[in-house]
Amino acid sequence: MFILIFLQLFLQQVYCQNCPDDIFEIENMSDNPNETLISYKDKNSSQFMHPPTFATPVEMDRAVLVELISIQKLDSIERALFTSEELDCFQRGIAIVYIHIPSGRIVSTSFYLKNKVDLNKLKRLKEEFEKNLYFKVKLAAEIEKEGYWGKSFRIFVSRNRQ
Amino acid sequence: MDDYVRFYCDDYGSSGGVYAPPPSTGGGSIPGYTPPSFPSPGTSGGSTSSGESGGSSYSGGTSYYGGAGSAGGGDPSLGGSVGGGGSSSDNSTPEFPKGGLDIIPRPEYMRDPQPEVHPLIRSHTLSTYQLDLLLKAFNDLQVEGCLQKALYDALIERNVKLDFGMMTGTAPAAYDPRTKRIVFNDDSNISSANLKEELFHAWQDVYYQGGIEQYGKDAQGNKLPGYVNVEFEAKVFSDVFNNPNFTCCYAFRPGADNLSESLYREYTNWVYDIQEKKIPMQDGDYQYWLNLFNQHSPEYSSSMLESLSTPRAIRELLAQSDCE
Repeated sequence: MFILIFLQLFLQQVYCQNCPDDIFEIENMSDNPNETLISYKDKNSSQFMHPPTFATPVEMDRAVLVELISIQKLDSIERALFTSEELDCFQRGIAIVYIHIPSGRIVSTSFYLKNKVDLNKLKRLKEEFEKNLYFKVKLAAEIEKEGYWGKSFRIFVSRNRQ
Repeated sequence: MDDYVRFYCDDYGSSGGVYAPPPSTGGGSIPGYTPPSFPSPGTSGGSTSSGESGGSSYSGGTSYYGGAGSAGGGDPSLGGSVGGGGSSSDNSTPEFPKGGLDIIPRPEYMRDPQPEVHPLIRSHTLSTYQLDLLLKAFNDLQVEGCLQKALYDALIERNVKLDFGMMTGTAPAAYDPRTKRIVFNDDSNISSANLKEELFHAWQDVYYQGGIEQYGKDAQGNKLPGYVNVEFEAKVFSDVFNNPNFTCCYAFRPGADNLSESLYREYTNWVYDIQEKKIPMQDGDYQYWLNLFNQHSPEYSSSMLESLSTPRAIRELLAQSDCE
């Protein structure tokens, strides 16, 4: 009995794409039955919507420039978590992150993927990004109050860079 | 004054730098000689707000900005020390060339007009350090991608000459189609990312008949019809022809201006699909995003112009480029 319940929970964690989850809001976005497009939206992302404020007037769309400090680090995180077979078959995905300004630290990560991916690995990926990926931050004006800046970058493209 | 000063420094042949004045105190003054005055801090030398000055060099071209010992011209406490040869620390009288100091340069020492620093620079008011950043940004832009190179080449082919300077403003960089001047608001913003968008505006200015001043702002600062078209095309250029390893995007940002994350994600996908050559940049898609940009970007929102509703300036660059 216990084994059955455990097995059910385990399989649910790994394969369920539209099930309640503590980290992500998971939604299959595709209208086309032959296509997979799954949104793994970070449940905390709405907390980080407010941008920084500046001491002088500034055009907000160009107020903050962020640049990933190390693409190699991104690639190495992916390679550590996913097998080369998995990375070979995954299509390009998108990570939407909220970055703390001015520190450049990632505080929230959502994913949009065209493949079904092991949910536990995806959670580890989010954890690793938030712990180990940093952005170089350039500001167009002096900051008055810290805030957050949303940006995206591609994931599962490390094989293209090899 | 600059020509006069340079003329004598070259004559000394000491360090390739700019003339340094003889000590104002101590031994040996020259009867009847009044030392030339020097620029006030920040006017022409290598001092910068960050204290980086003189001695930085630009290896390309025939610039007189390069080489060791260029005059700092700034506050020595900020690192803008006056470089160059000829200054004396032992109170001795510096030796001047035979014939003394001429007030009017002799014809044989007259230089050609100010040598060209860069084919796209008509004039500038940048410090040596800032100029180095600008030249580096030009170089970075050319190697970033084929269309960026095409933009650079197209401007040179059209013999576009621009003024460059610094100005405090609300944008990190700005192009003024009236004066053909690009300004940066801070040293840290003199980068290829900022330069790219402003150079693209310069390209639009020569490509669209009558220039883009007619789509700018009126004397009261009101945006004229077509303003949003011109700005959106520049944003799309920056987004699609970005270094693929960089983050996206300039036209839309998640969480900004009531834009839903799903729309942002859709735009990001469109940009990446064009970058990866999965889809071409089609007019219908472009107009769909232009409309949304007009709705969600109050800073740029204006009446739209049908004649500017397709990315013609981008397409012309693509046609001229060697991008596959």
